[in-house]
Amino acid sequence: MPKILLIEDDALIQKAVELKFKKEGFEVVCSGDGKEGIEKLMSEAPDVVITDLMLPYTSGLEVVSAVRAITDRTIRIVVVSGMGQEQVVEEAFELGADDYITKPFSLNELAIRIKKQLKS
Amino acid sequence: MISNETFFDLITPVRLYIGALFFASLTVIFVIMIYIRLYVKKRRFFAKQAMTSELNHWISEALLEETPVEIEVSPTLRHYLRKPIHRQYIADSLINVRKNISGAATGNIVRIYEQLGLKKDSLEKLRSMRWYRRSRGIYELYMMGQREAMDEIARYTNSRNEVVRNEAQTATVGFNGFAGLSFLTTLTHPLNAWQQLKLLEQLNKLDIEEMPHLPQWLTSSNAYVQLFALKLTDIYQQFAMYDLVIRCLSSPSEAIRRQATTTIRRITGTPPAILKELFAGETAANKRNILRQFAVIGSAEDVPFLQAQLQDPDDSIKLEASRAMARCEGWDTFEQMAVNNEVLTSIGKQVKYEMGL
Repeated sequence: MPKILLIEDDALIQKAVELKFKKEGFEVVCSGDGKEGIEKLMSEAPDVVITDLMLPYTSGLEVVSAVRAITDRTIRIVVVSGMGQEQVVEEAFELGADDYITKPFSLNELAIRIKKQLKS
Repeated sequence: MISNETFFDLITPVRLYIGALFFASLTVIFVIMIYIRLYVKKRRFFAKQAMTSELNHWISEALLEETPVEIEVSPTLRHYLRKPIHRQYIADSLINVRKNISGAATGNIVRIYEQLGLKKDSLEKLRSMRWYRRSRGIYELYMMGQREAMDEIARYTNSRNEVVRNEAQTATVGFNGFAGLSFLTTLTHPLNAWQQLKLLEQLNKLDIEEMPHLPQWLTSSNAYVQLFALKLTDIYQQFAMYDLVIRCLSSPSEAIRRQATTTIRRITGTPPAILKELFAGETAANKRNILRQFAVIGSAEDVPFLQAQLQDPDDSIKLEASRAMARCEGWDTFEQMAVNNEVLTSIGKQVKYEMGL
């Protein structure tokens, strides 16, 4: 069962995404901030990391860079950005992100993207 | 005044005991009050956490349903719904979902909003006499796509209160797109720069539509409307408005003249001769702006005009004129003029640095 590490500070969005992926047959580990997310990355060894770019304590960019520094390229990273954050998304790609999705996003679309990432 | 002798006579052991008892009681009362306050806060915190957890799960379940469903409200949630503070929290959470998640599933969020009677709350807020409640009501109805309230909301697009007015304008444009801009025709209050930006951002996501009232807005007695209309003309390349934009160049408002200068350049692609005619009578800020337009699309023909501006006593005007000359094949002329001219020489160095020469 593929494992997803979801780093999102909005509890409601986190819950919705978590339920969606559980329904799709994934194992989901959640974190409310970047710092905790990085800690879980080591202990949980996920296949995919979904991270919001705007996070408390440690930003999404720092998470992306930490994922790439700690692990190899096999872990896929999908960043979730707000409208008008194109520059930050570009920076995330430079740091090693594999895909991005902009808020407001469709849960179905996110699921499709994650599955595509896992296949690649 | 009490003499020392009398004061010390007053301090008797009994009085000291009474005083000590009084202050001790006061301390105890304070401690009890702090304890009660903390207890209430703690209870509220845990109640909110319990509600948040239940609500989040409930909303998330609803989001997973692709088709419209009748969602069952649990007794716990029904209990929470009795308190206005909780109702507001639930409404805010639903709005937050609408902002972050899209797709077919969000239809169920609107259904929940209606099912829980939160739409009724929003309508009540809209009809409230208090501006902060009214603006909140408009925002909630707009975010939840309640088009039936559109006419009622549209009434507040010219409200005396800026917050209410801005919310109503945002909602009207959100619901109706370009047609929603019709409030500009009757707007008598200011339309601040931030609100203009917000409206343009909303329109940016839509396909362009005709703006039949644009000529009216360009000649509006409300300077804010005129300014916004100039921005619309510029962004949506309304070349047919050329004459009206030219008229704006003679507006008593400096901001309108400045925007008109930029707009005319953008819609024509060339700086019209009238800019040169009006230049002498302009303020320093507008002179700089006119010169900036020549820097973008000026030609060799404009070099004599730009050369004349190098005589201006204001160094910032000289700098803009030099920048324009550098882009209008007038750099040789500039360099000739800069010989033995200390100010122009240093301006020349600056422009060369900017252009990477």
